[in-house]
Amino acid sequence: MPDNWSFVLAAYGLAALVLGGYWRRLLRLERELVALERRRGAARDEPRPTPTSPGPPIPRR
Amino acid sequence: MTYARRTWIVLWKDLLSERRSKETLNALFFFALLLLFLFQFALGADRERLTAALPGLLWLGFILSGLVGLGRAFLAERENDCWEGLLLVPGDKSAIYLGKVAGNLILMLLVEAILLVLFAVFFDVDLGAHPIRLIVVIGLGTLGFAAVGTLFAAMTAHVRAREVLFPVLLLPVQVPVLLGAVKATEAVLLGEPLGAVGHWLGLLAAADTIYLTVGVLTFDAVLEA
Amino acid sequence: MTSRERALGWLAGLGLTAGLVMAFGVAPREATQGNVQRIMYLHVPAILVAYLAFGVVLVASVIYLWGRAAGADRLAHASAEVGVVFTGINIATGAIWGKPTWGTWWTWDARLTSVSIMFVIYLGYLLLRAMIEDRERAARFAAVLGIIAALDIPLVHFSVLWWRTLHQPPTLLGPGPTPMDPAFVLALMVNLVAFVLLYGYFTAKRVRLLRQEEEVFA
Repeated sequence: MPDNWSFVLAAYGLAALVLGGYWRRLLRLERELVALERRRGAARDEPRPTPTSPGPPIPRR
Repeated sequence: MTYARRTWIVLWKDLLSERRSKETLNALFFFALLLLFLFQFALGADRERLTAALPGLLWLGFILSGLVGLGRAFLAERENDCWEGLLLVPGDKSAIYLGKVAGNLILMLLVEAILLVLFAVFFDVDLGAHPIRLIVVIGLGTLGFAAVGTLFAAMTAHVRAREVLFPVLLLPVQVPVLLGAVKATEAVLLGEPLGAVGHWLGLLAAADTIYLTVGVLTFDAVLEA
Repeated sequence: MTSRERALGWLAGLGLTAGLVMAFGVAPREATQGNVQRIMYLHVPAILVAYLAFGVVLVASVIYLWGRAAGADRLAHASAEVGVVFTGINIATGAIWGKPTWGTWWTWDARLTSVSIMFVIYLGYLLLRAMIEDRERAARFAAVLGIIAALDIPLVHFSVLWWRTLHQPPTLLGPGPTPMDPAFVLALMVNLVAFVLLYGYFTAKRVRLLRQEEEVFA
């Protein structure tokens, strides 16, 4: 029987794609969660900004 | 109040309300009739093909009607705000499970009997050669379906997409039951003795036992508020 | 990332490399099928790890129903997810293997059918979890489903022995001695260990992420 290396490549390629894809998904989830946690933590810790600072400069015609 | 009595009360309540309203039974009867028309249009012309496919068609009809019937298993409790009533039943809630399974089983067997008669009449097939064997096989298969179906019906009762989720969860899990039932029915319709499909019957019996046991052990967890 | 997770990750990477070396460098060319048989070093470990994953789902589900420990629930969820991934790989590599060896991408023989059934069952498990908003209720119902599903798998598996089938009889789990050369078995075992390590890494990471998710959205 001929060797059908293309099929072997396809199978290993597919497995690499799926496993790699799942791993990337986990890493992305991790990054998002860390970012969310940081934002939540920051929002909790910082005092709310006081409304005394001047607003943005009014554009002049 | 004993366990058996509580089971009986749930069963009796469901049977009584069904006998009075006949809602589900009527709907399933018409559904069965419709299925028959569908099968006729899809396969009817070729008698050989029909006879070969008969066990599968029968169980397809049983399963589809069963899905419709089981999907309504907890309808009364849901629509009439009786869910809390179920939760307030004292003692082991698994009595409710067994009562519900028994009720669903009886309903499904009734519809299956109707389907069998319709099949025999409209497709001119002889199904009555070995009634006892047929009853045993159909009973074992339907029990497996009712056991898991009642459990999943309770689980999906409050989910928004319940009409989709219920069959999606139930059908793949029921494949061993479907396989065993179809194979065993095939043998019975060919006139073989039940011993010839002893392994399939064993599988069905094992499946039924597993499903009922898990249902009894976990129904409490399913019914919690 | 915990140090245990990091260790598992590195070990998995090492294992996968070793597995590739075994599959392509050490294992001999198979006599009848040719080199296409090397796909087996992906296909068989994938399904075995899937079985392991769903077994873990079963145990974790029972533990959760018993004591309602949130950790058990997270483990069940994570393990089911990883199990579905490996099952998908098994089915896909099986189809790619089947085309040159049996002449067809797909056949409804019992084994392919039963693995696809298992795939769909656990996809349903993940769907159930996704569709129930209340976290505690989702955990309870998923646990019940996890138990039913796992106990169903042997029932589905036995149908392969009783149906006319195109698929080979199971090489490692069937009755009788395994009809395989020790050279092949070694390569298979190395890849199996690699996949188990990868499962461990993925599951550990997923469990931690689930816990973090709960904390963030609490």
